[in-house]
Parts: sequence; C-alpha cells; structure tokens
Amino acid sequence: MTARVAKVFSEVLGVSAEQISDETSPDNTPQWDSMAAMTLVVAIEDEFDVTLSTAEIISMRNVEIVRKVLRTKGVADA
Amino acid sequence: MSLSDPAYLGFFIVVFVLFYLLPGGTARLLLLLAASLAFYFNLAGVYLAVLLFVAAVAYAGGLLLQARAEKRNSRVIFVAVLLAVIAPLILFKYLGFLCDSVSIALPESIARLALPVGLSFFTFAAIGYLIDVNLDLLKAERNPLRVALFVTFFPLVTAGPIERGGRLLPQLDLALPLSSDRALAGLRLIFTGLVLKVLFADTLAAPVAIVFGDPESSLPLEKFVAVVFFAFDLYADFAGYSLIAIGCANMLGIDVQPNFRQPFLSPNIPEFWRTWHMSLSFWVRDYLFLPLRAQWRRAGPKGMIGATLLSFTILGIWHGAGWQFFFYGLAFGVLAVGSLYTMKYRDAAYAALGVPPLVVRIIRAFITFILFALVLVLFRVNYLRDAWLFYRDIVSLDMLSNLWVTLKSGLFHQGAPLDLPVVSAYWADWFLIAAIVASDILVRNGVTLAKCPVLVQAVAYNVGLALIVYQWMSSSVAPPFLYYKF
Repeated sequence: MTARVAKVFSEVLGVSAEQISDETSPDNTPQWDSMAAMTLVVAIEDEFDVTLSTAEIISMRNVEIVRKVLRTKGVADA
Repeated sequence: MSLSDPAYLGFFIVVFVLFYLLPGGTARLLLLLAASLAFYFNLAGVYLAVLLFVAAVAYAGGLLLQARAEKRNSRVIFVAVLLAVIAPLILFKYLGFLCDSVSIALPESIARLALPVGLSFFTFAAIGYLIDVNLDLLKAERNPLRVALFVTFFPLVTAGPIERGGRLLPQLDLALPLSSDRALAGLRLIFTGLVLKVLFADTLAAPVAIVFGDPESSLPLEKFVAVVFFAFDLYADFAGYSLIAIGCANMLGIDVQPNFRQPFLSPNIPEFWRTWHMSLSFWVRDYLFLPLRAQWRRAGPKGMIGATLLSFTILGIWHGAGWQFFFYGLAFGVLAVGSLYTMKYRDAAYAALGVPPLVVRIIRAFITFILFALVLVLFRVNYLRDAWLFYRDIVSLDMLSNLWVTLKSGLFHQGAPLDLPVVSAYWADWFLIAAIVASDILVRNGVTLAKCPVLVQAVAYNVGLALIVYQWMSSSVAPPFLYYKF
C-alpha cells in the first residue's frame, strides 16, 4: 500500500491511513457508501491525473483493485 | 409447491439425504440440477423452457464475452448477449403493458402468456453474472452444469436472494461433508422462516386482504391500520421465504447472502434499502446506480440525484409492469434524495434541541417506517386509483376524527366506539407486530434464540413447531409467498 493511495482513501472516507489496506471495501467500511464512492473516483482521477472508464469504476470494489487499475494506467506508485 | 408447503419440506429432506449419500462433485451437481429442474417444472410446467433458455444464454454468453479476442466488437457482443438474456423478461412481463400504453393489440397467443415464476430473479442473477464476466471481475464458467445450477438452484429460483456468480459458482464443487453445525444452523433458519411465514405473515394477510380488496368500503383509520399491517405482512412473508431459502442452501453446504437485516430499525430511507431486500438493492447499486453515477460523476448533485432517481425507478419497475410500480420506485428515489440532502440539517436540528440519541434513533426509525408503509400502498394495489383512495383518506381530517373517537371511547370510555370491523376483529395482530419489532431489536443487539439457555430453546422450538403444524393442518393450501409473482 503506497502512502499516496492511502492518503486519498483516508481523506475521502475520513478514516486514518493506517486503517486502509488492500482489503478495504464498501462491505467492511461503512464510510465507503454510494456518495463517497464517486467522491473517491474523482479524488483518484485528480490525484493521479488519470481518467477512469465506467467499467473500471464499477470494477473498483476494493483498494487492491483500485491499485491494479492505476498500475495498468502507468501510475508507478499505486 | 411453495417453500413453506409441507410437501416442499418432504422434497427437501429427500434431496438432502441423497446429497450426502453421494460423493462430492459431479454426482451431487447432477442431483441438485435434477432436483432444481423437477422443482421448477412442478411449479411452472412448460415454462421450465424459459428457465433453461436463460441458463443457456448465461452459459454461452459468458464464454462468448470471455473469448472475444479483441475489444473492438466487445460492446456489440455484450449488448447482444444482454438483449438475449432479457428477452423473456420483456416478452412475459413488460410487452403487454408497453403495447397497452401505446394502444397496440397483442396477438391473443402472446397476451395469454403467464409470467413464469421467479423470472425477474433468475434473469437478474444471469445478467449480473454476464456483466461481471464482461468487466473481467469473474472468469466465465466452462462447465455448463455449474452455470445451469447457478441459474436454476431450487431454493433460490422462485424469489432469490439474487446471488452473484462470484459468490455461488466457486461453491459448486459441492465437496463438503455433512456438518452437524451447518445442518443445525440451516434448520434454525428454516424454522424461523416458517414461523415468520406461517404464523405471522399468513395471519397478518387476512385484514390486509379485506381492506385492500375493497378500499371504498373501509374507514380512513382502517385503511391506515391495513397499511401498517401490510408492511409487516410483507416483511414477515419475504424475510420468512428468504430464511427458508438460505437455510436450505446452507444445509447443502452453500452460503447465500442475507436478504434482510432488521429493516424497520433503519433511521432513514437510504439505510432502509441497505437492509431490505438486500440482494436486489445491492444488485441495483452495483449494476445500475454505480455505472450511472460514474457516467455523471462530475455533474455534482445533479449527477447524484439523477442516478438515484433513475435507479430507484428501475427498481420499482423491476417489480412489475404498471404505473403503480413506476411511482413506487420513483417515490423511494425522491425520499432517498431528500434524506441524503437534508441529513445534516436534521442532525443539526436534533442536536440544537438536545434530543437524546436513543430518542432520535426511535423517532427516525418510526418516520422511516411510516414513509415506507405509505409508499408500499403502491406496491399492494392493483390500480393507481386505489392508491389514491388510501392516500386521500389517510391524510384527511376524517382520519384524525376516527383516531380521536376511537381513543376517546377506548381509553377514556367516552362516547360510542366507531364501527371498525377490521380493527376490532384483528386487534390481536398488534401483538404479532410487537413481537416482530422486539425480536428485531434483540437480534440487532446480538441476542438470538441460539444463544438462549437450552430450556428456552426447547420450549420455543416445540411451541413454534406445534403452531406451524396446527396451521398447516387447518388450511388446505399453503398461501404462496407474495414475491412469487415477480
């Protein structure tokens, strides 16, 4: 888990960065609700300067998948 | 053969025994598939062909979506596969309504088609599987028997829970040995489900049927009582069904997602939908709301409002073809949006007034329940005109007058009581409602029957079972579950 990814999730979800792991998902994090999900997407796009497709956004059901998507888009420190 | 029918339980016991006599793997897979097809044929006859068609499209479509060598035509293939899997739903459920709406007469052979039981449920399960494969979230299953069982699995085929391929397919190795713990846990769920359906739902259904069957003849207070009763009737009916379905699956070694989590304790409408018919609301969230929200993510509140309204409206229409279902969904969308955007002001108001958190929680749960029960009128009526009769009467001055006269005569023994046959004949049903609420509060706080002393459990199970058997013996036909019509 990189500090940059943890920081985005921590800021949007309002939880400490230490609580963010690859397994963090809407199922185990009540703060990751449908409102926060898109705030998260916009924050990720802005932070890493990428554009995510609808399919990529829907597939992002935990932090591990988010990192995988970012790495396929050339983000080295995801 | 409904899941609460004694005949179904006999059928299940035979399947259960054979299942554990057979070795794990293909033999058990074939047994469950044969049992599932026989169960559905018994319920729906020749409409079994529709179920098999949806299973075949899910299987072939999954492979096709996975096999696409290049992304160029993938969207065309995906749309074609989705249209194929959704075609029976359109034909059997929506075509008549669509043609009626634009005054086109359907050929009689099509107009007479009945709705295959569970069509909306197994179609949504298949659509979810195909979308997951298309998004590379799931590998397409290569064994046709496993896909067939995923779509047709008998405890779930009639009314869900709508399972995901990613959860169910990996469990279809069916190699688990018989476990007394799991069997007992499954039995407990089946027992609780039967209690909810046979003792609670079927009892509450009687006054509801009287008032909703002839809304013009009942007084406003009776309408309001019927609206409250119906909310609990539907909850006991569908949660009861879900527990029986999940319990049967558990006994066969298959974990199924829960469908209800004490919904009437929810403090607001968005939270309510995270605890009511969860498999459908999570399906709508993942496959409708999130894609829409993703598309409109930079549109600010407009994007959020648009995605919420559209998702809830489609959730409403999922229940049936008719304007009442359109408005049922739309009303929940409006309430959800209203709740989301007024939340912080309401929080601030309660804080400024110094209302204790527990009281706030109770007020919120009560308001959420009343809103839900009122919208549910649209779900229960056959025509919008009937819903209007309910709403007109419930918000009328006559309603207040009914309440006042009833309270005055009942509590203070002043004046003659109103003639409210439904209210007076079914007053004991309020105890059932109190029992449901009390039980949900206990479960939410971690108190379940399984954790009670053995003596308490023994009394509860024996009395419950005796009452269920008595109910079975006193009615010739087990009333079907309310969600069978979807």
